[in-house]
Amino acid sequence: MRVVRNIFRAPFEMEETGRQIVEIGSRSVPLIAACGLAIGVVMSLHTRASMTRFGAASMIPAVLTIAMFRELGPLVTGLLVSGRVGAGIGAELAGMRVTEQIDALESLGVDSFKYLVVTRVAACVVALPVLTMVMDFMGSAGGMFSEMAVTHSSAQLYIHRAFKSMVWSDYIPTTLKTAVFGLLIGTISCFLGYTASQGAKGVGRASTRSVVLSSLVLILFNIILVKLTMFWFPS
Amino acid sequence: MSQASHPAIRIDHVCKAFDGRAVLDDVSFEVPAGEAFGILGRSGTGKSVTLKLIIGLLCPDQGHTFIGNDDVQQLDRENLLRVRKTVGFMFQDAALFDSISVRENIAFPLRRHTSKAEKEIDEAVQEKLSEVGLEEDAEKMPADLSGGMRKRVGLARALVLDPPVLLVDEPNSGLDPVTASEIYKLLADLKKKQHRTLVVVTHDAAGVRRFADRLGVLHQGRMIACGSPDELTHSDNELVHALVSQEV
Repeated sequence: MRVVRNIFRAPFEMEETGRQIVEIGSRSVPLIAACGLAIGVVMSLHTRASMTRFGAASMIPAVLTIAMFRELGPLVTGLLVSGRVGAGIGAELAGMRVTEQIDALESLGVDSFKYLVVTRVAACVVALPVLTMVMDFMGSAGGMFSEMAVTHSSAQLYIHRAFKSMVWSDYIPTTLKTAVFGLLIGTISCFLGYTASQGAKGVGRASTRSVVLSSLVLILFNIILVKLTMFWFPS
Repeated sequence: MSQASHPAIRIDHVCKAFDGRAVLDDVSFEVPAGEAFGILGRSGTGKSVTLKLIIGLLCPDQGHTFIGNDDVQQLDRENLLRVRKTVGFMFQDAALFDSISVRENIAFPLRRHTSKAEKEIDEAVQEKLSEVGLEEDAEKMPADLSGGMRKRVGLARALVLDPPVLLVDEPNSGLDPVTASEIYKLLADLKKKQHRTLVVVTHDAAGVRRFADRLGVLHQGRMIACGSPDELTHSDNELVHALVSQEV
């Protein structure tokens, strides 16, 4: 609640938020893109083995794309970001806490909560949906390359089959739900880092707990969000 | 307002405990504007806690701390941050922001709290760096500095907003006698030339006596003595005498 309240109160810390979006968002793109591509290829290989058994090989593009956009992309992006960013935020803030850098910020008249926590949480909320789009499209591209290599079909045909049965509700709500993932990852890892104690041990603990707890909470929240998505967008 | 009616710093019957262990027990003292006050005591007697209580980094269990007329515990967040800008804090381990350079560390408060142009900020940073003798080290990262250099950067950062009050936590800890002496000389200059109010906590009586107008001795959470260095040197209390004259 404190994070949400502070987001809308001046000073807005736009510069630091921008810096965090670059740190959390842009620097995660290579990881997300590479993982998306690999997942797309692997999914294609597995799906082909099953679908050809039932004579439904032509549905592989649609199945892959829907699976990627509806669930795999958002969830895997959330888990990857909680690993990379959650650990980073937890360790960075905990390090600042135990070396009195947070106290130093406060002593200089800076609202450390707003400067360190609110900016990072806001950056996570903004970055997650964008990273999810990268994951979705790279996953679809991976599937397409794999299918093209196996069936020698054209990219145009794959894209047509992949997206002809897609509707906006397959894409928009599932992408936007990752903003909630961002809120969870940012809040949990910032909380654990910001309140760390006990020196180097505390830093390690904050980092590990940030990853474990944010991943766990993210997976559990995903169940609720999927149910809500299905309720609001029954198609 | 006279200095006597409004001390720069006032601690009023402050108690603070951690995990049930009392660290400060009914501690009171005042520091008039322009005075250098040294707090002496053995390790773990609550010296650093006292400084953190003064600027509200910690909250007392009982009692109040005042900066000028402002009761720190009664201030809302916005006003607390405003009041903190009038107090510089030099941390025991300098607490430099380790992801930015020395120059950026010192420029940070100016960027946050002033509307100075980049050129003016650069000039102010350079001026502070030359005051602490580090004009050649502006582009270094904190990790590349020695303990003494880090302290001096911490001092420069604490002073860059020209606060009338400076709180100093263990200025000589981890330093060799020569470097410690340089830090004490800087503090003495601040007192003498710039007439800043200083509150310095240390266990090094000889060092702090070089510039302190008064000393207080903390022992087992209580301020057991307070007075001029000469008065405390001739104290009947053996511990006070030993700490102040360093005949331990």
